[in-house]
Amino acid sequence: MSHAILRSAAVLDAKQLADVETIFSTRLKQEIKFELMLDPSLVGGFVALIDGKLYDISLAAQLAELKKNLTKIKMEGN
Amino acid sequence: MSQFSAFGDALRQSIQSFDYSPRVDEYGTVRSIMDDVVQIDGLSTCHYGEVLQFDGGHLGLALDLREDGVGAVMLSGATEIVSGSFVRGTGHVANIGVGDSLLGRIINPIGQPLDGRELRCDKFRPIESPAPSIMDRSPVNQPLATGLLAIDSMIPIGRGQRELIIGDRQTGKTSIALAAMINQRTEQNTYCVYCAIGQKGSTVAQIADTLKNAGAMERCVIVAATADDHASLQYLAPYAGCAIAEHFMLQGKDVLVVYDDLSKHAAAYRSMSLLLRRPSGREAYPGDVFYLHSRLLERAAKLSDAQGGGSITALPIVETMAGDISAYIPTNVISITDGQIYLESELFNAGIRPAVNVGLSVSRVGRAAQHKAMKDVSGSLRLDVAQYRDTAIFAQFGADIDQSTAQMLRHGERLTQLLKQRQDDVMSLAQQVAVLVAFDADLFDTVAPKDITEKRGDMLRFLREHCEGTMQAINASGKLSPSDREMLIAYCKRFFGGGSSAKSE
Repeated sequence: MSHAILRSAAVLDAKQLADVETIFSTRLKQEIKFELMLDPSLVGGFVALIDGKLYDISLAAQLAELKKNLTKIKMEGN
Repeated sequence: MSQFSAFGDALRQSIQSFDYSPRVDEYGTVRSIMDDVVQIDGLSTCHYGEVLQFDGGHLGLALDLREDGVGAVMLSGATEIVSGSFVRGTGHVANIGVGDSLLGRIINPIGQPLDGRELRCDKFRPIESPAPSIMDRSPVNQPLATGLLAIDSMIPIGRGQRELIIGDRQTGKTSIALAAMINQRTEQNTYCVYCAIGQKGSTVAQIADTLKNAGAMERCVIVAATADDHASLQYLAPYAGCAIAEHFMLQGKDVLVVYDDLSKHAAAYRSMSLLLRRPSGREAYPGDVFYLHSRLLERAAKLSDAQGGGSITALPIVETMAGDISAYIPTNVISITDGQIYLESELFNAGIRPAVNVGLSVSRVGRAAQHKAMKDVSGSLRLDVAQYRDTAIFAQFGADIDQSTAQMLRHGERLTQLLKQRQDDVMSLAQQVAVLVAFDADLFDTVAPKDITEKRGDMLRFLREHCEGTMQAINASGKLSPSDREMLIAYCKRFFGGGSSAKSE
């Protein structure tokens, strides 16, 4: 079993945690048991840290990406 | 109004079409942090020079890759990182924004503005990039005028050259570089980049102020890593400045880059290397401190016409201790550059500014690039100055001297005065040529040494009023025809002969 940490913006209940663990276990074809960490700076969603790989599904990352897209907008004529 | 709604539409469209696919990155954890050097576990596929992102959005630079982890330097926010913090790789090397929007601005080495205004850049360039290849270069063949008579006549600098300015503290090193930058304000195709490395914040503010007052700031970019910045920022500053200059060079522009100064750069790199536990060598500098500066200065070049013909002229500055130019960093940089301007505190304190020691200063490629007019009038100048300084020391003992020596001393004393110049009082080519022509015709011999500077100013004003055409022709062609020479001598004679009456004409 590999070392895995789940950082989430809010506390997860047992069912939510089990769901997330099942998804990752089937996707990565190995059994995943998460160690939980609370990180309010993520705003929403979670970040999964598994074997040196980081899966970022947090709202903070999405907002950052959106901000990057919005600042790229250029208007014609000014 | 319509622009507003169009902008709103663009925003709405961008938000609606936004689609986020979850990112999969590498991550590591911080094991230890010392000053701004961080040791990280994990990040096994990290690249050398990759930018790392820490918790809280702080950035670092991976500089040491080992089997079990990564050594990195923080670029910001070192105090907020704790042991166990998470780090992720960003997959790209350090970049800096480049382009015309930087002109007139003060930024730090990672491209953030320091002058309180917003900065937008469309183009980015890696901070480290390879120097132009041999085939892309052309020999140095165009002069870069500093506007200082002592430099332009005796130690000429060409576009694409690397000329070291070396001397003790308080000898006017920065002043020479500033004069050169100020003198580029009239050159249409020339930009300047000033890299402040480990300088005092007040000094940088003063330099920006001087450039602004001289009207040269619109063509300058200041990259500043002040003394209170991390060693890592001070280490990056010259490379960042060079990347900005390269962008201009590739557009066919001529760029003057000043690195002020490389001794502090080497010291910053030393402190980083020691904390990264790299083996230390002489004076505790790491083994690659030579390569540190050679790869930076190799990026200065004159490009061939096929590559657009742009150039980067580098004026690195090195500070010596008690005039010792045989210390480690000075000898390194002297051997890398195409010559040096050596400044002496004795001369500086005697009021001779710029305090150039002509005997120890050389320009290895600049002669080839000098204007024909200047070449014609400055031929024996170096010898004259050097000879005068030797003899003057001898004559101090009150030895009996013959008439020709006395004449040489009198001549030399006036020449020394003529070469004095303030950094904001830059001279054009024609003005420099006129001064040297008048000196060569012994016209200054009747003037008392203390009045020379004033007389020189008056003469140049007189020439501007009376033979503007000839002066402009010399500036345009860079040549001094015999008839122009006669004309200059005639007018100078009229000025010196007429004295105050000449002014009223």
